[in-house]
Amino acid sequence: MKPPPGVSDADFAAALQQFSGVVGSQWVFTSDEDVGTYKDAYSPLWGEPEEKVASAAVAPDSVEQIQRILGIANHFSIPLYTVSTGRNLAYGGAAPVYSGSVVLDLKRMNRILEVSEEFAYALVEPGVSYFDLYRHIREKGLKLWIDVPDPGWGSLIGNAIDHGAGRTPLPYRDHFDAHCGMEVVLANGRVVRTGMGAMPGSRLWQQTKYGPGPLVDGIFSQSNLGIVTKMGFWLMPEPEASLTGRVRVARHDDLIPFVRILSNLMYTNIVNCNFTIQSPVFLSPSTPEKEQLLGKSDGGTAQEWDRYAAAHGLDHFWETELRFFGPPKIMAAQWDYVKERFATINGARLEEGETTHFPLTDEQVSKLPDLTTFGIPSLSVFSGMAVGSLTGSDAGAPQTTGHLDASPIVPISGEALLKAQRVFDRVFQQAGLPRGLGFAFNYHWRTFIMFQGLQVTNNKEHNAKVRAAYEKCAQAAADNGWGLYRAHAAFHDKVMSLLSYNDHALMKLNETLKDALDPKGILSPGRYGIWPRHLRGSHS
Amino acid sequence: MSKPRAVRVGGALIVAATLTALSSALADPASSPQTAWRRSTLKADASLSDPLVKRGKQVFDARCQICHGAYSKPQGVSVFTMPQMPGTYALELKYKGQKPALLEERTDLTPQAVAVFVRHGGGGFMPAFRPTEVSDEDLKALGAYLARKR
Repeated sequence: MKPPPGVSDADFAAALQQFSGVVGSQWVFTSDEDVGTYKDAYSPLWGEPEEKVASAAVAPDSVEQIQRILGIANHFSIPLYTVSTGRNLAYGGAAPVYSGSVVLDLKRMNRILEVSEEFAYALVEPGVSYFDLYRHIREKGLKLWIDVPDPGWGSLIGNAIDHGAGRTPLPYRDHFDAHCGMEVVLANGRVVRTGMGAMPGSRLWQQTKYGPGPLVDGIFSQSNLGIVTKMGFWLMPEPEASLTGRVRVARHDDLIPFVRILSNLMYTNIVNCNFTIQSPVFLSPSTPEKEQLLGKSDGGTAQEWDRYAAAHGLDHFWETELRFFGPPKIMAAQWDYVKERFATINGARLEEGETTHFPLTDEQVSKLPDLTTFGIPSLSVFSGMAVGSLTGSDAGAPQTTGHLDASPIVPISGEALLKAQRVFDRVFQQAGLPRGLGFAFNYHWRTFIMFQGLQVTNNKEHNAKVRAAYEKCAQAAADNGWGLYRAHAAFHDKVMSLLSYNDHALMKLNETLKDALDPKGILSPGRYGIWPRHLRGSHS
Repeated sequence: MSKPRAVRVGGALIVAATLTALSSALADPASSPQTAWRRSTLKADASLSDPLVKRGKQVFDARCQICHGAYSKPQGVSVFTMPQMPGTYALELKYKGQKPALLEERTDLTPQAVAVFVRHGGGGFMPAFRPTEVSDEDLKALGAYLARKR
């Protein structure tokens, strides 16, 4: 058991003993095996000296215990790295950004404090997962939906403060945007409630984000300025039904009007679902001609691609599936209007899909092909990795041990989508990795996320390529005026360094806040590039 | 919002667990009803008369079933449509019928092997599980359940 950097063996031992006095010795973890469970299972630094590791972990089950732990950590200058359910796979898992930190594991704080059907919200602690809240609502028979990220075992609070999102309508699927009210423990142990929660006896804490004065919630997301111990979330009342419709356009350059119409429908709230734009042409199997086109300096002209699609029997270039939620007669009107708008694109094909009525029985749930669309938690997204991990190992190739996501965001326009595909594909090609033509996802309001999934393996040379590609991807996004909405913990410094306007003024503000709120720098040092004063420079 | 490189596979559907209550007798917070991921009905089985084994079944249902449960074969195709039980699906691909893909049908598991997988991960995409998720006591019970004699 190695103490955190700069902490003596004696001080570390004393701190751990005092932690045990607070939470009980069974909730302080120091053995190699237990501490090893806090490693990032999908680490791109797997097996490297730089791999992020904890020195120990402590698991409180109350705010009062957190306050006492903070007092001890401040006294002995122990860095703490806070996790909620500790998943966040592909973005760093439960491993600390600053190796040697003690993980403050909040999984035991797993109480669903309130669910209001009348006002459609929930108030939860950090250890509550999407599965937990879904089951609670289902068992109580409440007419409410939750919105879930692709893997449902994560924490509502953890996902929201890392700006995660799901697939039901806005504002619910943008998890930070859908929150209303926080409770935060500051580094000095003071408990703060945001918004109307600051008023004793407030009946509006989960009803309005606005109280008099500054809105401070944002400084506790993607940061290390406090420990979020409660958070309210607005929930969507269960809709009557859902209707799908598929839109296909024939030619390469149809993407421009296609996205323009789609974005206008989104801005006017006619389309309010998470949609994915994909190209059957770009996703089709590789051929020599395709590689030749992609290898051209312009990535192939529209005419060349249209000829390619025709020659390979691909009858449409772009497609998306839209989903509507609400009363059937209103959805029918929305779909009619959508058809009318897309009919202006020559050759556009619109196909109505199925209508699903709610509530669903368990039997119906068991037959759904895609649960997260309906706010039902699942782990199915990992099945994609199953193919890579096992076929790879069978072939004697490096075994997949995980993945990480470079998550660039681009404006919702056909031009930006086309350019982003070319830019990121080139990054991956140059890195010697599989192509990154991918998909454009609309998770957050008014942007596309161009997910670039990178396979992490047990091969260090491959992982070095992956890390280099991730950094180049982030740089390419910045060079084009785009960005990343979220970053893997191994790249927080790099990603934050790209926010360099006015001599990194934003980071300087973050550091000013850090120094004021956490002068000893005990809270999650280095998270999102925010280092305490005594570590600044050596890392950032 | 974690998303692996899109691997297009046939659609799939799941057999969702029946949402019935676990025994309220569980005292360990790591397997309390409130933190269970999903529940399923405890089916009658003579081997479950052993309290440790019975508890292990409850731990399996709460913690493992959502990934290692049974699922039905594909329907529909989209980027989001994948086999709903990735643990089972991965083992299907690995064993190709030579061993059961469902952990609950295996007869060659030992408590030691189960403990290694839970605390160190499955060697592929299955991560390790922390003691705050599956306590040492729960892990012992889980091992007893999956290695039980039938």
